[in-house]
Amino acid sequence: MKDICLPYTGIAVKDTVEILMRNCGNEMEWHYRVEPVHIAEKDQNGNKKQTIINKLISYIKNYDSNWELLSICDSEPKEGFIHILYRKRH
Amino acid sequence: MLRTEDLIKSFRTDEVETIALNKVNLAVESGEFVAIMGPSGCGKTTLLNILGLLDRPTTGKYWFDELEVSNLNELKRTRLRKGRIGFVFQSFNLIDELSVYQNIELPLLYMGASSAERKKKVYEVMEKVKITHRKKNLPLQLSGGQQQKVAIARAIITNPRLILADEPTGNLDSANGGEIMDLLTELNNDGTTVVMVTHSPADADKAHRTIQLFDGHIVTENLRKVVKIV
Repeated sequence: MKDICLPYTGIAVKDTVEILMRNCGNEMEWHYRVEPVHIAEKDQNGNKKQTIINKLISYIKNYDSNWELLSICDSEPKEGFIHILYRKRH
Repeated sequence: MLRTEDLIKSFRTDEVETIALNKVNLAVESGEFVAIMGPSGCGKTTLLNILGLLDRPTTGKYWFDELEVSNLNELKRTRLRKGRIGFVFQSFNLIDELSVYQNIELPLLYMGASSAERKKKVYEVMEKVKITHRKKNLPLQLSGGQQQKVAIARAIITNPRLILADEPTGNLDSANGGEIMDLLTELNNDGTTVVMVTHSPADADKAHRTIQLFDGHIVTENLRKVVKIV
């Protein structure tokens, strides 16, 4: 087993990174996506943290069910995004 | 086997209160293999420490084997933990001055097992994790993968029903990490419940279910395999 590290930077709000990995020609394929979720600043009550949580839960719940959430990446909240790694279901 | 209700854990320093876990509701059935994932600082280890009775929630309830344990004092939690829960840590937490054999034997000494019983069990688990040939070595004479095998042997020597693993492959290369995950999977197949904190999607793939934490909240759960309840 080998680890593969793909650094990515600067994904804008509407951009999605799609990665296709092939092993031994076409025998095995994995499709990955990194989705940036834009974080709302504050709700009408000024409650930032709960707003982010609610938005994240709603985003994940309504995401294309052909894709499986793999991990919520370490994100810097100042950037205004939370990045989520998905993998296409087989 | 494990169940929490509205679990909250907060830490207070002078004027600042940090909420590490916020109304966490979680159930783990006997025989399950559950992975807990999430960004750094989201509360994974805090949750694992509470599930392992190393820490107490600030509010909320926690049932361990149907017993409500959230308000138990340190002594009672220690008694409950002993022999029932095995811990595996990212940094192995072996005692450098003790040999492989002595490290693995330690929990049985605390439990007052006889010398003959200790010897029999230590050899059994050393065989299981394939570390017998290193029994006289000190931890620092071993590779990271071998040290984690010793830590797993120490965790399982009392036949615990629950193993809590905090990033068990975090300090290992992928080959050694793969071996450790195979061991945890094998233990789970034998009926041990496993709850594992990890950053690795590949490791989480071995689990029946993955719980995603974010800022102290469970934001989603992902069921992968049908669980054989034991």
